[in-house]
Amino acid sequence: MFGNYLKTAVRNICKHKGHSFINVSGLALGMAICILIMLWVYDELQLRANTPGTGDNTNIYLFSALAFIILLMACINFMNLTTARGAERSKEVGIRKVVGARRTGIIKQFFSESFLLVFFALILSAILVELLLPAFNRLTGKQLTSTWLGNPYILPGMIAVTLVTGIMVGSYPAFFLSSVQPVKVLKSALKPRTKGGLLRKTLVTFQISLAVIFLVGSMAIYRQLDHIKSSLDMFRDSIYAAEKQVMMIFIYLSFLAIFMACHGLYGLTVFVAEQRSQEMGIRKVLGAFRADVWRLFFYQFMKWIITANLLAWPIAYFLLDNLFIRNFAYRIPIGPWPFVLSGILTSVIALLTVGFQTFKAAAANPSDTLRSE
Amino acid sequence: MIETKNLRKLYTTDEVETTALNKVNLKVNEGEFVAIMGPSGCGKSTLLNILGLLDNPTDGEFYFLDTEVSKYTEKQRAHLRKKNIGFVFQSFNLIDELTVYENVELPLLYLKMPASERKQKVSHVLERMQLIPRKNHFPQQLSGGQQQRVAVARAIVSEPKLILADEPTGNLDSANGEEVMRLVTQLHEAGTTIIMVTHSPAYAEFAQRVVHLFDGHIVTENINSKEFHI
Repeated sequence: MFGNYLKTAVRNICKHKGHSFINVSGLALGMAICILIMLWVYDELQLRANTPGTGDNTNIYLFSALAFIILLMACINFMNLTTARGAERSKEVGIRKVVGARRTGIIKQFFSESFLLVFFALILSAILVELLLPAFNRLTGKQLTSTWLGNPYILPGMIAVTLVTGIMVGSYPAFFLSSVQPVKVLKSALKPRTKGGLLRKTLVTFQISLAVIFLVGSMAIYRQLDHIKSSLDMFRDSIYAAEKQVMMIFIYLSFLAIFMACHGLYGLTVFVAEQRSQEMGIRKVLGAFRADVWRLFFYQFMKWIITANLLAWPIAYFLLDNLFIRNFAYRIPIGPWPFVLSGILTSVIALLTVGFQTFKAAAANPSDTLRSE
Repeated sequence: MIETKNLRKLYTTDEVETTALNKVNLKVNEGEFVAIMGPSGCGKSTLLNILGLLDNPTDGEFYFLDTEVSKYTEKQRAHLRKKNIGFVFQSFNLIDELTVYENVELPLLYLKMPASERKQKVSHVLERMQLIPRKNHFPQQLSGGQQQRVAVARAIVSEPKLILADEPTGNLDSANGEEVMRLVTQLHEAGTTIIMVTHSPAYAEFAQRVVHLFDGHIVTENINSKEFHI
């Protein structure tokens, strides 16, 4: 039976290669960052054990929390993309139930699929850790190595990450989709509509906001550095180096946040395109051009991007002004440009991310999306 | 109004080629009421999609209002469609997020009609369909029969020359089915051309002519005797 689960899982993964790839790479990056931070935490703990008295554990808690949040977000994005095509999968579940599948069997099947993807993500994340380690060492001023077997915690750690991730990402699709009632998905002439999605939209808006905050931070600090650089002397030299370190952290976090926001946005696009496919089909039957339909998607996504920016700007301003720039010895006001540029940049990146999927949805032939069978 | 010559439609997937329509020759005159019948999978919906300019045929000629349109692009078809064709579906296909009023208004929006004219036309058609008390309801708050009335209202609000109905009574009980047929007949009497796909011989009786499709081609065409008695 397990062989069967695995066979179906492999076929499903192959059938949606694009989705699977995006899912695996998004999760792999989350896991890689998580592993890097765990390596750092491990190193710090060892350091502290060797030199007693250095008691401040704030950073350790902070970074552990960050690692967990990043992994959690990657998992949420993964789940959202997995369940975005819920209508299609729920029909499959309906058929399986009709021919005698029990709920536990279906749960096992979805878990097999999730664990298989997590396993691929784990392999990819191991490669990513190797690639990112030099940059991470430069950033943290450490000499961490990924001597996988030399460190007694690595292997159990990896297994733990895989298990936690697999259970996190597998449980929602498994329990959500296995609860499908066959009569509802098989008998109705209409496609089962994936309703709502407020949580998905909120989460993605939140992720875009985070990306905006880090982007504004990077740009604002860059401006401060530029200001210092214009009159360098010995004293300023040391400040410059310290502040550049902060900026580099912000830049890396921006990249990470943008990548994760794109991952989330992609999953949301697939969800929205599916959710609105019937509506768009009707609109096209009634004479809407492809451009009219695409414009509707465009408005919807722009709404979230603008909301995310409006939420992020005051927070970014408050945090930067109070936590970072206030402590800079030579500072200039943040000014409007970091905000404007971050807004434009996130809009462009977001629209590139949603563009292909929404174009595809806008180009779909209405006679396919309105099929009554 | 409509003429097809040797119309063919093939569906090709990776390995299989399916002929959905084969050498279909059909002529529908302006003001006619034609019913299309046939078993499941005979190509009825494919034919209706092509006649409704939702899809292009693989080959053959298709004259719509005396213009050859079989090679039209999606955009050209959308142009023709919104000006000339109204659709009624078995599953109503109303937009759940829009009210009755907004659903009916939609075709006029895509025709870029001015607001005052839109308002007047929508109100007029809602009144005719006895939907005024329901105009601010959402589709899910209506019965099947009411939803189909909204769909008919939406199909006729732009006063199209042709109405295509894909089993409009398929999801309705007999009373509501009769009601929809009465509406369709009224439209026909007012001069609209109607092509209707149906499974029900009783409802096909309402048409002037019945076209029987089987395995993608037309097998028989009968003139309904009923017409001659009137």
